[in-house]
Amino acid sequence: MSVWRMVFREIGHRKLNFCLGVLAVTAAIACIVGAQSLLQADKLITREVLSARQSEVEAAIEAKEADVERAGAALQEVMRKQMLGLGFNVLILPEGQDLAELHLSGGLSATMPEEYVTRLADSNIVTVNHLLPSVTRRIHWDEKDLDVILVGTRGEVPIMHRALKKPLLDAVAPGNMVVGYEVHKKLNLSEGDTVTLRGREFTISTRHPQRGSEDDATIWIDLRQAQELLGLENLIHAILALECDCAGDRISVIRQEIAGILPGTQVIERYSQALTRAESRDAAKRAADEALAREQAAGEELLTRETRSRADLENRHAQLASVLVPVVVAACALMIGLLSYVNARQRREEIGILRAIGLQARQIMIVFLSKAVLIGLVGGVMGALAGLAVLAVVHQDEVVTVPAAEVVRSSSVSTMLLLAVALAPLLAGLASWIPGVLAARQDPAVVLQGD
Amino acid sequence: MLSLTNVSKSYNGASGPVQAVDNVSLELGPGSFIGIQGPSGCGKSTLLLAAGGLMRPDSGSVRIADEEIYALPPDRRAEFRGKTIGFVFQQFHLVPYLSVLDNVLAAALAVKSADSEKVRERARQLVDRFGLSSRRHHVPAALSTGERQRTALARALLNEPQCLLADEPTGNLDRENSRVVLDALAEFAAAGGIVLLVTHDEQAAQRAETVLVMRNGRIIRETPHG
Repeated sequence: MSVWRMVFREIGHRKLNFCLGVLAVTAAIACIVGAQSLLQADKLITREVLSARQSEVEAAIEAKEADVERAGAALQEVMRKQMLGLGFNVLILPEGQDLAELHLSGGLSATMPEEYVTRLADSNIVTVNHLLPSVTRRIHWDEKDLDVILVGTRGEVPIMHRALKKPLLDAVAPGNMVVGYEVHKKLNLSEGDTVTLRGREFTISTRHPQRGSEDDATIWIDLRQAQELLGLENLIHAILALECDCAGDRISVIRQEIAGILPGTQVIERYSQALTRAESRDAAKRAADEALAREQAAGEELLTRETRSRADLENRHAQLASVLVPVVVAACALMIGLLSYVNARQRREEIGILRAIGLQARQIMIVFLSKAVLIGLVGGVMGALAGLAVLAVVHQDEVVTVPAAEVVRSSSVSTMLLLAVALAPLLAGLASWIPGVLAARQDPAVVLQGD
Repeated sequence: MLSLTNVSKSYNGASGPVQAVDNVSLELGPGSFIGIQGPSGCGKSTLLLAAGGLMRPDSGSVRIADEEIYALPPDRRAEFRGKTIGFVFQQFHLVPYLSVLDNVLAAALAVKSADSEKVRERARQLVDRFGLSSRRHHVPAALSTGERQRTALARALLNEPQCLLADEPTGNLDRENSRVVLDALAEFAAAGGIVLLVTHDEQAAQRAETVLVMRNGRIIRETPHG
């Protein structure tokens, strides 16, 4: 017969009492651990949700900024091309070309060697950016019975000493034809249609919208093919120099520079709205930059709002936890304490008997405390597991979930787990110890005679 | 030797202090079988509890085997009580969750130096002696009142005490069980032990060699039965 045998006999004899004790401690510890775990899980989930939201917002802002930047760039490009006609351009013509012919018929008759454009491109000219050689003649398109201005172009000739600039005008590929508005409207032409011009077949590659100029009655084909059709091999009528760096009175400087390179030519200013064009392009760039800046500011404000609301939410959680957790812990501790106290108090007669037959206070305390500590330990472990199980049950349908291990690893929950498992037996033992030690100190007769 | 000298004990009653034991002195040598009788409330149970070291008297001294038991610290007194005194109560006071054998063996917990095998053997002998062999694994709730009292008697005798103090041990028993209990007490005294028996039962009192009659906390008469 040992004290431990007494402990286990008593547990076996009062199974329901033991089970209820364990259940009560389990419930209390489950409340503590569950409350803390739920709060922690909620905190982690909120953090996840807010982080995801923040990432979404950041990505959306980045995407929008990229969109705005692209749109700005596109706007600038469109503006650049649209402003082409307003550019400060010069036309280099053979010296003998009658300018009245150009203004009256839109065509030219005097020619110069095509090699001129190469010479100009190879020179160190600084006042001209883009060179566009062409042949231009007003013809009757026999196959369609229509008067048109035929322009042969080979696209821009790169200026060799400069960094390559993005071309303002694209070349027309051999066999293709670009048609002005009035031409394709009258002839009912669509892109992809095949037409014949002076016995040669061409495919319509581009149809220009209405421009309100001689371009509407113009067709463009490859320079080489145009030269062949017009019998002007290796000859051109004009070189269009675009985007000249020649605002104001610098036209005389250009004339002088070109005359030095291409003797026997004349230079005329084709259009004079260079300043307007530059301003428009600047305005487009400014508008794009401002739109981008507005987007960035709006994005930053949104992010600031998100961050602030996240901090507010976390603060509210922290405040709730700081009130809720101590209240739950205190209530559960009180519950465990009272249960153990009542149990020990109900067994005072046993204390009297054991004391009467000679057991020492220490032995009696072992009998009582062992059971209480055992209840606390079993209940503590079961309660901790039940508390974590609550977490799994409550969060199983959540869209955002956090692994239980992550919750358990968090310092507050792991501390609470350890505390709960250690606290439950300690509290149960302490609560049993008080009535036990009081009864063990009294004369056995007093305890045996009862209250 | 059990010696009480000028022992007094009072309680706080509803209408003021009640003198339960009033300056009582007794001396019981080995082989003594003393009965105490008297009306209810005369102080006989209080005298027995004080004599057994279960209730500290207000004044006076209680000596057993030359040991002033109330001078001992509580744990030493408990151990001394476990070794020296056996108790039998009217209400049995068995541990409800222990079997008959374990209830008897529980008394051995008070004796640190006890040889557990010998103690176990003696417990079995006592259980057999009191006719409880077939009930040794039953808890008190499954026993008759007579069996419970015999279990309590076996427990009281396990540590081979010098004194046996019995408070109305036959109060709840039938004639046959009373006889078994009283025979055991007489046998204990005949073997050199000291028996102090508190009883209302005239037949039980007849078994004692001397009967002390108490009234109002005092011994008023001593009747030898010799």
